[in-house]
Amino acid sequence: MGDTGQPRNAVRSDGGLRIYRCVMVATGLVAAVLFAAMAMLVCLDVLLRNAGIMSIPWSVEVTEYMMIIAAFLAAPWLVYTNDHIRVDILLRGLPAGARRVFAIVGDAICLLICLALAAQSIASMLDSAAQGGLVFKVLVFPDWWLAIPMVISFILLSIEFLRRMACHALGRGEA
Amino acid sequence: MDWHSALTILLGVLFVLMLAGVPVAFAFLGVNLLGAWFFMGGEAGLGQLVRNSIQSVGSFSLTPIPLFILMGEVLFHTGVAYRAINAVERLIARVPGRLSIVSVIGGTVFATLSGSTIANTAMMGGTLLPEMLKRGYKPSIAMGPIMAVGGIAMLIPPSALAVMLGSLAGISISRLLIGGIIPGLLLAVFFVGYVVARCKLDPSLAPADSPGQGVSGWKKWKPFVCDVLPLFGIFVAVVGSMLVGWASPTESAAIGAVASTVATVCYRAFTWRAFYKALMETARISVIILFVLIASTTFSQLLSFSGATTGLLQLIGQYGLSPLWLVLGMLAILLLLGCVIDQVSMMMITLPFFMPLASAAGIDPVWLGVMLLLAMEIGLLTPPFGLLCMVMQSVAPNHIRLTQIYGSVLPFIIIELLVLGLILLLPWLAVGLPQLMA
Repeated sequence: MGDTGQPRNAVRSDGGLRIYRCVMVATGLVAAVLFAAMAMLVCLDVLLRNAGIMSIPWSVEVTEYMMIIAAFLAAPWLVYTNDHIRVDILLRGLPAGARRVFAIVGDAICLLICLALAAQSIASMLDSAAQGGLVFKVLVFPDWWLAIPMVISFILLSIEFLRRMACHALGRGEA
Repeated sequence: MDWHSALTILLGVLFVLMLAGVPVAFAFLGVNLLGAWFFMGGEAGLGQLVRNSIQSVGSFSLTPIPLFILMGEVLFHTGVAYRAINAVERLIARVPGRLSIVSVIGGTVFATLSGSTIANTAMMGGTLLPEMLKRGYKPSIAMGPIMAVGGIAMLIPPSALAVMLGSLAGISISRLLIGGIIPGLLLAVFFVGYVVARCKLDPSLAPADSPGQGVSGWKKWKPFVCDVLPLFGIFVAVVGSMLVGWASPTESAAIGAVASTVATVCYRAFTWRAFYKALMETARISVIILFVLIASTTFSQLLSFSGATTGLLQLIGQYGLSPLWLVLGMLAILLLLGCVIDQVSMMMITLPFFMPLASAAGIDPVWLGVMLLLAMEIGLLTPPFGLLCMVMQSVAPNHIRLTQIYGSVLPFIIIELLVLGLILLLPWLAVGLPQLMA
């Protein structure tokens, strides 16, 4: 689980890939900034409340939305950096050719899963938008907004798994 | 479909996908898609799956996961934690296996400031291991304590995984965090005892320091007073704010994260570059955990909808097992699972069964929670999927083989099993402090 921020054999000279890498790292950066903002917001709320000045009524709700956005948005970045947890005890003992086949099959399965969830989350979001439902807590807004991070996440995940599959199929080593 | 077939299909597909190298989170998502279609009403089930996934991480009680991790990462990347370890090293002199003891005590100190087992092991492995090997320590006595003490961060508050366990299992998070203190310290004491005894019996394991090495008087104590004691202020802020009721356990994590950052500023160690690294690492570790959580939340619903949870609980109920046997069974399952899968997945697969069983048998949830944490902590060390063994491999010199890493941690796994047995026989070790707190 290295903190390299990029795969080992990435072709850095290619402008398109560089932009793609920037998008991936940016999703991780958004999560990082949200976690920092979360710490400051909650701490400020505790300080103001215990000092008897005021309480920030929307702090809990906003923190929850920050968690949703961070967890979904940064997931593609972790696939890009190969950091999601894998159980590779069986695969490690296989010869290189068989490992490559498993990598392609594994990426294809993940691609199908992500495409299905991207389609389902888009359908669910459009359905919510059509019904015109609202989230009624301290903040009030259309509830389809909550599905946006999931939609973005699974679209980016689908693209990333497609890229990985192509890299493995073309024999570019670790995608 | 009967519950046996449903359970076999759900767990079978999950394990096949995991063993085929599909990332754990995506293996859960794949099973969820199939299960939602078959057991939750087709199209409607898939819609429910999307809503579950969004709601799973939108919970305030989960926010300590990134915040406790941030605490440790900030201290780690700014170098403040290294200064604390160096200060501890100066205090310990003339004992067999001195640097191994430093790693245990330093790691325990860092565990009170960090909620991340990975940060703990990476830091101790990166700093103390090269020094130990240079001074002629055998790898077996150099690496084992570092990995073992890494797991203590999972027990001693702040602990990101304890928060997750408490949140998922419906156990009071503050009581669970406080309940982990005595077992965590007990482990540290046993680890030190083992290192001293082993090095006394076989002095070749850890060569003694050359005479005249080290300092005395104020020079010896100054780094401890300046670099370690003030850091305990962070621990006091986290645990104290919870105990006096100024902040909830969730909010205390934010206080800890901000206090750690303020501490690095006070030590003039804060740099934007280090802070960026700490934040990115926090995002990386936290999202790994949170995304497995997103992916596996629907899994427990599927077990329930398919009748697998009720069926299995009824089957176990027929045997009329005593609470002690039930707990032993749960711990055995976790210890076995710990050899092959990660801690978050272990929780997601087992808690839907364990918690109703424990509740029906009248088992104290804090006592059970602390033991589950310890059993999962052992899973961090057991081959072949011991996460901390892999972290050690990534920071150890190239000539160290994975088998040496596994061998070095074995005595410490036995010690942890011993402590687990002690808590099983003496529940006060886990529930004593939370009861005093109440």
